[in-house]
Amino acid sequence: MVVRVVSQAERREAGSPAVELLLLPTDLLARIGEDLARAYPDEGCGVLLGRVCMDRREAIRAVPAENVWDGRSDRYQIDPEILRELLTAEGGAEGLRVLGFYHSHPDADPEPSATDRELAWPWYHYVIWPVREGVAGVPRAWRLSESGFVEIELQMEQAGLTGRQP
Amino acid sequence: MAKVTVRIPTPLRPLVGERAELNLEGDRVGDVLRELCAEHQGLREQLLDGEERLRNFVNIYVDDRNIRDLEGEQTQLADGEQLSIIPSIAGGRPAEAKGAAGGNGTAVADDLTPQEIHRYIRHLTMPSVGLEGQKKLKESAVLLVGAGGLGSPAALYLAAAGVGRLGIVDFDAVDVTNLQRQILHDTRWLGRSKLESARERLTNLNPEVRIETYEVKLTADNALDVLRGYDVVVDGSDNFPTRYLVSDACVLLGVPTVYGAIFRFDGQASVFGAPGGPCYRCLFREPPPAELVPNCVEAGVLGVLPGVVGTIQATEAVKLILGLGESLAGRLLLIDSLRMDFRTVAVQKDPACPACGDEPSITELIDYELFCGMTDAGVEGDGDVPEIGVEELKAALDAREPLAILDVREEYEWVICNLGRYGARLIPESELVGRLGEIDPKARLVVYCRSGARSAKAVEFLQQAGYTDAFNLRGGILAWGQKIDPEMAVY
Repeated sequence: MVVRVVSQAERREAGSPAVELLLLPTDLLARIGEDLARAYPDEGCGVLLGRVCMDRREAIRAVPAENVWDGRSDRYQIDPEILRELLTAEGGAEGLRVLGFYHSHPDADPEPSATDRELAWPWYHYVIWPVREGVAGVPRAWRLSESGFVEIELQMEQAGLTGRQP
Repeated sequence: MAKVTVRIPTPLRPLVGERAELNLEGDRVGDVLRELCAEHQGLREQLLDGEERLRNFVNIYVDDRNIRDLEGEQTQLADGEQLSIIPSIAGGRPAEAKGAAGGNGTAVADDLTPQEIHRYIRHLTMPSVGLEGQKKLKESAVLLVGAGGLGSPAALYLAAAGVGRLGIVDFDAVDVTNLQRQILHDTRWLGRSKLESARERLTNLNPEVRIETYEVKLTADNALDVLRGYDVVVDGSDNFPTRYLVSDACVLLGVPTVYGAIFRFDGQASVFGAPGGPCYRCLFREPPPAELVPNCVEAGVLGVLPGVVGTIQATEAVKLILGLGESLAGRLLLIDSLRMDFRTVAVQKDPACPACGDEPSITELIDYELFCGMTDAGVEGDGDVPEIGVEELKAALDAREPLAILDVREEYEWVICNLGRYGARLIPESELVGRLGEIDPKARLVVYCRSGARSAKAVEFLQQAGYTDAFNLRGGILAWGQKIDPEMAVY
């Protein structure tokens, strides 16, 4: 399993990893999981906002989006209106950028489908959550490269590791 | 021509020299897009199809309006307007996998849910626990013997830590005297089942934990059935018969016991029955004589101390489940809270131990109350002394029969409740020998204590000393409080 939970200390010991990372704070992880479980058996989707530093992205906010793909429960399309607002606000006061998107695969593996591949944009991270029988599982993250989807290491950790009381 | 800016989304910026905005001129949206693609050939593929039309999965906005809702590529532009290229983000689950739970990369059933990962993150970030350790906790089952002083903190921490299955054995109701130390329960539960109180508290703390309750007194007949199937037993019992019973049963089942005990300001903890480690009988082969065993009610305990010891027990249970560190197996931890001194002494596994030795003689559970000399008769008085019931005493008092009532408890007990209004006098049992002169040898004496045990011994002593008309009050002042005077504060 690519999902790893890594402490700051362990990361320091390991030095700066050369792999691409998406840091997903566990409160976001839990909340997105709940949203997607609620959407079951339909697909749910949303936008991940956060910061980018080289190959490392840190998700800070998740914005659930309306699934505007009409007529099929096994497709999703993020409401372009929400995306426009978020993209327009990029680099604003909070300095947050659109890192990528999440969607659920109800009763299926968290791997990109043929449809996902066909419609994907480069650069963005696509986080896919399995939701089985209404229970959200552990997601995996992907990015479209020139040679197809590559998996991104998803690190789940508590938000602002240094900022919270123990 | 209108001068407009075009906002480029991140994925397309490498195609335009990493710029986020470009300034272009054109009267219609289509003109600007084609000029953009002419300047930046890489964009053409992304934005336009083979027939130079805008691709389906690209949205173009003029300020905050989608050109699909305007006039499409023919939409007129004005100076200062902003064109935004908004990727259309879409996808879908693989049709072939619908409903299938199998396949490569399938999350296995014991994976943690995102909610669990969030809840246990401070475990998960420790490399020595991590996802694997948390899964071990989730798959583990711990049985708590007793939901009292030791069981309370142990249960709370084990539930909080994410132990999957938590069994609790207890048959008491919540009493107000429990609340000085038994933090699992609270005032709302007075008079009601400790198990139900525990279930509610622990479920509120962590709904993920399965709580299993056994409203029984643990005996040789049921112990193996109750304990079987648990990975660790936390013994929070307050008496010797149960400790021997739990230890022997765990040895027979091959399950480690985390032992804890408290007395006034002192605490003990250890791990028994771990592979290669000693059991409780290796430490204490025989129980102490029953008359030397202080009743916990009479001895008292510092309310915080079970919090310390029960928490140590929970720590040991978690370490055993995770396979971390060195457990207390082979060591007895001695806590002196007055000096705040913690020390451990070695406890060797005894090859001659009747339970866990090389040739064990205990191959099934025995009668532990008998073994500890604590049969009912022993506790409630040995039956050889003359007794009087509380109803009889009340009738005699109402009839103004001449009686001398003697209370042999301690002074602090007298303060809680007493029969002083009926002329009772306090002479603690320990002082009886020296204060016999204060008792009229011709009077008919009724002697009581809390439950009738100490007063039975006192009556026996008084009879030998020549006070032949002495009676023990059956059930002590507890029975009086139950049957005669429900308003009385009992303890």
